Amino acid sequence: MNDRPIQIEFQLNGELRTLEVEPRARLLDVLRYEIDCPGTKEGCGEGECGACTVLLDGLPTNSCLVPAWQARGREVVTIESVTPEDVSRMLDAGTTQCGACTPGVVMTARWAEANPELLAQFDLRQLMAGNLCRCTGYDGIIDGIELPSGQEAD
Amino acid sequence: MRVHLASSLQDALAFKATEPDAWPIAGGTDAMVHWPGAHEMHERTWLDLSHLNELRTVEFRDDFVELGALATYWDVIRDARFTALPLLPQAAATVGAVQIQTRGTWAGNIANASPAADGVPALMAYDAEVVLGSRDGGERVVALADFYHGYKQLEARPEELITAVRVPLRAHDHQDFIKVGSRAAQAITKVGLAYAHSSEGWRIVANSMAPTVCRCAAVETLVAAGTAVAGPDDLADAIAEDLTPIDDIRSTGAYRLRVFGRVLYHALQPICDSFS
Amino acid sequence: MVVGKILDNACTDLATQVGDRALRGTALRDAIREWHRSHPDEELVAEAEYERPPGVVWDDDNYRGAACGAFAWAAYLAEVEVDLRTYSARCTAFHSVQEIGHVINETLARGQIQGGIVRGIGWALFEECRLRDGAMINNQLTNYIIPTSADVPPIDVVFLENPYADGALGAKGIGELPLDGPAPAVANAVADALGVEPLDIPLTPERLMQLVEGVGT
Repeated sequence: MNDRPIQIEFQLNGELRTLEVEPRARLLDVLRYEIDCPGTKEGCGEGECGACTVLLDGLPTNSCLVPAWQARGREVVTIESVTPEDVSRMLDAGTTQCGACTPGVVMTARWAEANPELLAQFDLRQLMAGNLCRCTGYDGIIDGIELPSGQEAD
Repeated sequence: MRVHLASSLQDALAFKATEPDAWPIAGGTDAMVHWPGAHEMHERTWLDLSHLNELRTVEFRDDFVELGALATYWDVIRDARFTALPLLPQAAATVGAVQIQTRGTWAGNIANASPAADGVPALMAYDAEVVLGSRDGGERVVALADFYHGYKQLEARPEELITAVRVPLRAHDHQDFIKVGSRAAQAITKVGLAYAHSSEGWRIVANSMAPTVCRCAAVETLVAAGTAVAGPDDLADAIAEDLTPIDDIRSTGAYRLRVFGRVLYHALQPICDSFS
Repeated sequence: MVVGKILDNACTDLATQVGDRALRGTALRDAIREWHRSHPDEELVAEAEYERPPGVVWDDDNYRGAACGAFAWAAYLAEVEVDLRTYSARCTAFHSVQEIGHVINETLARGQIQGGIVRGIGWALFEECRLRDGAMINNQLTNYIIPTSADVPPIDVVFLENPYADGALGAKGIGELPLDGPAPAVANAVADALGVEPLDIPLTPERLMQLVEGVGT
C-alpha cells in the first residue's frame, strides 16, 4: 500500500494492457490520457450523464466513477472497438447531433442490442435513461437501436 | 491518497483492524461522485473491496437470503428468484440508471447512510439484518432498523466492515415500494415509502422524510390496530409523530408531508377499508 | 441564411477580383495563387454586406419595418398526465407542425425540432436555475433536472413544405424555432388538466401543489 503509482493489467478492447496508474486516476482519465483512447467523453464527471459509459466486464459503467485500480483484471470495452458498420442504423436515424453524448449512447445501445432478452423486462427508453442527451430529444437515439425483429420501440 | 487493494476478506478485515479510518470502496457510485475535486477524498486511505469474489454472492437459504457485500442492484434485478422479495428488484430498478445499477451495492447503500437511499427502505420493510465482520470480533448481526442512530451515524465500529445483508424469506400479503422523484429515471427520492405485512406484522418505512431511512412506529401501530382511516388526514398525526421532513434543494417539508400522507393512504386504502 | 449569403457574396467578389465570378474549387484556388504571384506584397480582400431581399424594408433609424426576410412558423400540441397525489406532471404525447421553407435534410431537421421540443418539455416541467447570493446552487446534473429518455414521449414532427424564394435552397431558419412554443404548450395542457393558471415555469410538483392547495413551495 502506498501513494505511489499502482501497476495494473486489464483487457482493453480485447488487448492486454499493463500500465501504472496514479491512485487518484479514474478509469476515464487513464483511457483518455494514458492510453490513446480519447473517444470516451467526460460529461458531468459525477455519474449522471453517461457520456463516459464503457462496458466493464460486459456491463455499462460510468468510467468517471471507477478508480483506475479497480479495472485490474477486468475487461474494458470502449467506443474505439466500434466500427462504422456497427452503427450504420444510427447514422441513418440521426442518433448524433453535437456528439458529446454519442460515445456513451453507442456503448449502452450496443449492450442492449447484444442482450435482447432485457427488452422483456425493460423498455428501451428505460435502458437508455442513463445517457442524457440535449440535442436529439431521444427519438434519434431510440430509432437508431437495432431491435430483434418483431419488436418495435415506443 | 493511500490505497489498499484487499486480496481476501481476511486481508480486508486485518487492514481495517490496523487502519480503522480507512474508507471501504466497492461500486464507488457514492464515493466517486465528488472524487476529482474534493481534496478530502485524496487525503483518505481507501480500502478496495471490489475484487473480493467471496463477497459477490447471492444465496437463497431455507428462511433467508444472503446478499454478499458486493451484490449489486443489477444482480438482484436480473435474478428471477427475487420474485419472492419483489420490493428488492422494484427498488433497485429506481436507483439511478443502468450504469449505476450495475455498480452500486446493497451494502454500500446501507453504509453510505443517505436518508434518500432507495435500497435501504426495501430491505428495512423486510426486516433485513446487517452482518458486520471484524478481525478480532468475528461476526456481529444488527437489525437494519436499528442500524442508524442519526444522520450518517451508523451502528458499526471503526474496525468493522459490512460483509453481508440477510433478508428473511417470509410470506407477505401486502407489500409495495413507491418512489416519488423529480423525473422518471436518475432521480433522487423526494418522498419514499416501502411497506410489507407478514405474520410478523406491519413494517412501514419512509425515506427522504427524516435524517435517516426509518420505520414509522406510530403509523405501524395505527394500522396494526385496525383503526378506521377515511383519508390522508387521519394519518397526519401519526406521520407527524414519526417523520420530520425538511426543505432542501429537491423539495419542501410541506410537500413531502402531504404527499407521503396521500401515497400512504392510497397504498393502505384497500386494507383500511376492510377494517371498517 | 443571412450570414451564409454574405459569405457567398464575398467569395463571388473574390472570384471576380482574380478573374471570373464563376470560378469555384481548384480553379479558384489556382487563380488566387496566380493573383498573389502577380501582386507581390498586396492583400487580396473581398467584402460583402447584407442585402435585404427585394420588398423587405427596414428603417433602422425608427426601428420600423420587417427585421427579417422571412419567419418560420410552428404549432405545438402537448398531452399531459398529472398525478393528483404527487402533482407530478408527465408529457404523454407531443405533436408538432412546422413550416421552415424547404426542408433540406429531413433527418437533421426533424432531430433539431425533436431536441428543441424536449428541451421545452424540460423547461415546462423540471428545469430551473436556482440562485443563492447570486450564484447558481443547482449547477450539477443531479440537481438541475433535464429530461431523460424515460421522461418524454416520441415527438411527432410534421413539416409543411413552402420553399422560400430568397433562402438558400429555399430554406428558412430552424435553429431556435422549437425552443419557443413547446414549454407554453405543456404549461397550457397542465393548466387545462388542473384548472389553474400558472404564470411561472417550471411546473414542479411543489409549485402545482401551491397553485391548487395554497401550500407546497
